Amino acid sequence: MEKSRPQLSLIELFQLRWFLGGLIGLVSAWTLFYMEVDALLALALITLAVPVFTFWPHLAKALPPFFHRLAFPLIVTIFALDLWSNREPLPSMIRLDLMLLAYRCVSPRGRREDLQLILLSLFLVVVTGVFTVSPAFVLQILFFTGASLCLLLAVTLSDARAGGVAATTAAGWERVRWRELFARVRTVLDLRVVALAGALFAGVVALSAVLFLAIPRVEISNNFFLDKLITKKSRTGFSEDVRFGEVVDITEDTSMAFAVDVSDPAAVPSEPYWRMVVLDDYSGQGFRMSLGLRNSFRARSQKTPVHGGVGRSGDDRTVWTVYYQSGVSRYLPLLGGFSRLSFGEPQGLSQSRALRLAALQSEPSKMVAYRVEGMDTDGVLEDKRFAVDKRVRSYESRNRRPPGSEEE
Amino acid sequence: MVKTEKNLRANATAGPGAEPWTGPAAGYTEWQGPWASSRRRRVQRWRSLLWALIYPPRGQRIAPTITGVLLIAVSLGIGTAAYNTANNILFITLSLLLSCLVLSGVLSWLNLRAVAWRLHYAGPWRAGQTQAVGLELRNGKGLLPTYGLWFDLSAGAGSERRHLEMRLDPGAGTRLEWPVKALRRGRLQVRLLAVGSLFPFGFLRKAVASDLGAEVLVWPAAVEYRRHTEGAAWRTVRSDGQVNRFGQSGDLRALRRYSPGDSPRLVHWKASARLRHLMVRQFSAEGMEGFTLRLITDAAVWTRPEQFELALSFAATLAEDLFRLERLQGVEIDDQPPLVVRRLRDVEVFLDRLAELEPMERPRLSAQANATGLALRALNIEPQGARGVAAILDGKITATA
Repeated sequence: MEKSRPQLSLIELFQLRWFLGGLIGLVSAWTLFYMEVDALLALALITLAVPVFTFWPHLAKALPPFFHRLAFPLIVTIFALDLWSNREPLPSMIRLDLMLLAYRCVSPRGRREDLQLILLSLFLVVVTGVFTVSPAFVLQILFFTGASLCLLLAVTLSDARAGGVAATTAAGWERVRWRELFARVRTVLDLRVVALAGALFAGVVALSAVLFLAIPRVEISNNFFLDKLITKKSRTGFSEDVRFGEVVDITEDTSMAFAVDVSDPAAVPSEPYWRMVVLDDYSGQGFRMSLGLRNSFRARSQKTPVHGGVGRSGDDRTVWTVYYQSGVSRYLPLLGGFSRLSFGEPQGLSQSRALRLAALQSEPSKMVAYRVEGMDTDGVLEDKRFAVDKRVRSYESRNRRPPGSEEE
Repeated sequence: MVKTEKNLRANATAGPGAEPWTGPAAGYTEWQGPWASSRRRRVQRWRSLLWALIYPPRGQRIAPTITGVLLIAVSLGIGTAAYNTANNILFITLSLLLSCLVLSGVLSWLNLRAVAWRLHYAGPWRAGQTQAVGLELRNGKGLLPTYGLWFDLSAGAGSERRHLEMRLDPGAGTRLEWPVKALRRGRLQVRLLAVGSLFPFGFLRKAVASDLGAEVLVWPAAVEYRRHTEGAAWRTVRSDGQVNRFGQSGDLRALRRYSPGDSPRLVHWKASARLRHLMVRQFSAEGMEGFTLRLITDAAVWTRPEQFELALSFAATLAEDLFRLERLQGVEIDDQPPLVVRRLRDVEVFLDRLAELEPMERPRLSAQANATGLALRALNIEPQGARGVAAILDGKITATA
């Protein structure tokens, strides 16, 4: 007669949940070691406290009630002070996440708290992955997924063992003997089912790979019809038609338009003059770009990542990398003519070589980064007729600004 | 070989009609569930399987739980961020979240696959008493256990959710007990409304609607009553001493196997322990004077519903007690044909009639009473005062309730 396998009791399921929660919290917190975020104190505290509380869960039960009452107000206060003093939202949010995660890992958890722990850990893993773009992210997210699914399974099973209600606790769960628990888990597991679960997880990874390749990468601004239905109103002043009534909105918009990284800071002029759009026609209600000027723009027939222009040549090897925010304008900020302008992906670019202007086909819906080489920085357009009478002093002879990147 | 032994063992434990593809046994509903239906279809084709996944059968519902809604919201947020930033890390995360949802759906489907259930509703059902309804489960899968099922059950107006707290191993069966208290006599619908599960991760609430159920007859409640000895109506009139038939008050004649309805007082515990099943004692019957229990449901007489209910309960209790004393020879209700009581089943038929009885306008009395050879001594159930009822024999009150 086949002997039926034993089953984990509610207490053992809670102990397993406690172990898995601590493991997930610790590993997700450790992913921050890859990031340059000033959170060493919080990381050190988590590294110390979480293993101790995980292996001796009675410490969590021994925490006084005022600790739980004060925890949330204290964390929020620290977050507010952090945000106020550093004025860096993302690092402050990461530190907030670490504090919340630490609290969740050391305090007793029910179903809701376990879900919160998973969510907090997911935030850390994803943020770290996005900002580090490290190959280790794949391993981190796979481990996190597997451990989280095991924790969720344990939560579901313990709820079922508790008679269908969300089990918040089980009397005596904190008195755990880890060796006995793991031995019992080993006897409970059916190796064939474990193998099947492994195969299913491999299937999940394979399906994720297929989905990753199959998910369409849509350029929202180019393909969504809604974009064409929305009435455009200038908020930045860098559109082709600016009306007088819009000036208030323009002056109130203080958000960052673009950031520039220069390979040679010494090449930055002391008073850089950024050229974007020229409004040369008065319409009665405001200024706009004249039809003649619009027609002077020449566009290439196909999208390419690299575009040539009329700029400096020779020994100027300065590379200007511009991070251009979305929603500003379709005209690219440039100091003058350029010899080479390259994008990360193919773009349609129209240029007015006479005015040293360049514009994308439409206003980008996401941040666009481009590299400019051989860019004129004198800020002067030489007019042949004007030059007949007067000699224009080159701006290059002006004082240079101290090294550093520029923002507008 | 192992599988055959397992099946045999399962059959032995579950009794007749235990296989999900067999017909219903007495006191049981038929088997229902994915296993039973798949065995009836004989062949589970991949095409029908895929079609069932795309277009689930009627009654199957899959709804996200709060956790599932949260996961979908997180997926939407990460998806929006992925499209806004064109970040591959976010696309990888989005793909994994979507895959987890798919995995959850697949495991949920596997959990319910090859599971069959049926109800065991055998009586007797009596108003005011708790009766256990059995929900029998079988897991027909070869490898995977089944976890965390719930069953929405209803009896009359009340409903309850019972949970499968333990794991149901592959090839194994189990039984969940559901205590049901019938509040009043009459017909009672015992139904299994739905079977569902949150397995495996609690993202999705999968439920399968069920129309499994049965209608049971609830007999009137047992009541306490008082015998009146002054009329000497209860005296035992011995004819020729003990008669040569089984009864419950004479000498011990034999032992036989217990059958439903037998009094627990008749159980012979030593013999039961020796034979490993319940045995009851059989006595010889005494020659005693019998009665015919007669109930007239004239609405003009029974003007108070609660008094009528008491009369039915009194009649039911009296009938059982008289049968136990071997003194119930027949029963008679209004103009219905009189029923000669020879065995327990006759009493049960009488109780079935009482379960559905309502006061009648001007009922006619039966003219067949004498023709059937029933005893002439009729024990009439009549109202007594505003609330009570009495059993009248020969114009004298013999018992009141």
